[in-house]
Amino acid sequence: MIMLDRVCKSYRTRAGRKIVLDEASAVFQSGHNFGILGPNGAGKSTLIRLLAGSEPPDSGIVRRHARVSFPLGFGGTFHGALSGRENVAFIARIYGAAIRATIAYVEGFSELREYFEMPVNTYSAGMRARLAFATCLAIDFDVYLIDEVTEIGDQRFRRRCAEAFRQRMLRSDIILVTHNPHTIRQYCDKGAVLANGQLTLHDDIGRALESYHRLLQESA
Amino acid sequence: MFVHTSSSMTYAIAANGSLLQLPLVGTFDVLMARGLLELLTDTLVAVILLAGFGALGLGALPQDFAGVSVSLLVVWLLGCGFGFLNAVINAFAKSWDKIWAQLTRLLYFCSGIFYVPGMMPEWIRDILAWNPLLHAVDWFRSSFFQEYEPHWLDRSYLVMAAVVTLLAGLGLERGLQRRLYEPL
Repeated sequence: MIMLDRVCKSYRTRAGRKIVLDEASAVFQSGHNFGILGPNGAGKSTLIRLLAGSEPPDSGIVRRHARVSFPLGFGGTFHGALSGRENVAFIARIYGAAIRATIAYVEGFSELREYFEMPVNTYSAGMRARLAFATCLAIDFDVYLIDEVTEIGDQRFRRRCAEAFRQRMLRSDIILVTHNPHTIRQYCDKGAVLANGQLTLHDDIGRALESYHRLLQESA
Repeated sequence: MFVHTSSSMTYAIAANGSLLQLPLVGTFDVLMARGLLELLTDTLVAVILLAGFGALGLGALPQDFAGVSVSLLVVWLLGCGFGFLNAVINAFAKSWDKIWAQLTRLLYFCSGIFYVPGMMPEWIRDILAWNPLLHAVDWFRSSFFQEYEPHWLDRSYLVMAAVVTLLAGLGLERGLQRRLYEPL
């Protein structure tokens, strides 16, 4: 379970303050998978980083009663000068996972082959995402935070990802950011809409999508 | 030791931006890791150099090994203090690293590396003695060659400078932690 308690978060940009969350409170219960919807630039990625703890809120509290994954997104959590293997070893170590077993799993799942020994700097975006996915799956988290990276790799890799996640979802939950309504229906049973500093939870994913579309039409 | 530590810690946050995305890794971790890396590197370099001199038959062993080690450790702590300060300043003033690079050039000349303080006119030495690094260099020197006994050397001044900058650096890092690093 992850709880947001009156969380505020804003950024300074050249055009003034950009407010992502304004006194937002929400409870992401365990046993449910949440899809997060929101227009571009609403701060969905920031929300994911807040939930992960990569970033502190300006005020308010984020409570985590679960082992929450690092944010799985395009940003990447790898050090460019280190090889895939070294990065995985580092992450396994700080999360207290068995290093050899984690490396073996990631090496097999990511299918990076000789690139597994190369610096992450030399990877394409897709290869990075594959490494991140495999590393995340290799470590047992209670909640997986995924930021728009479900559409990676070729068909076969995507199918294997989906299969691996379905297995994992028997025990763990996911919180997913995506623009793809199909993906969201496939994985999530609850939804949340982030817009104008407010985070609204919907018990039904259909209703969340509906309210999101209404929001887009209003602003159009 | 001082220059390497204080300069490279300035860049530690930007260089490890992706690792800071991991919730378990904070700015203190990457800064301290960088500082320790510099300590190990420079120690290793010193050992290799001295061993090389020894192999060539030059008197390479310090006469007071403990004194040399302690002086290096203290000046490393001073470097860490400035490293933390630099990292904080650089987060708010982006060109600070360039200015710091120039300042350290100046410090080379004012530390009694090229010109031994013993050969300086007294009034110049009195001014330069305000520089903690001069004490570091002479502390090291006097432990290496025991016949060198500079009367102006004040070890406690260097230790105090190290403690003060370290406290200030750590304090600022802690206080401004959340503003040191912004993703994207």
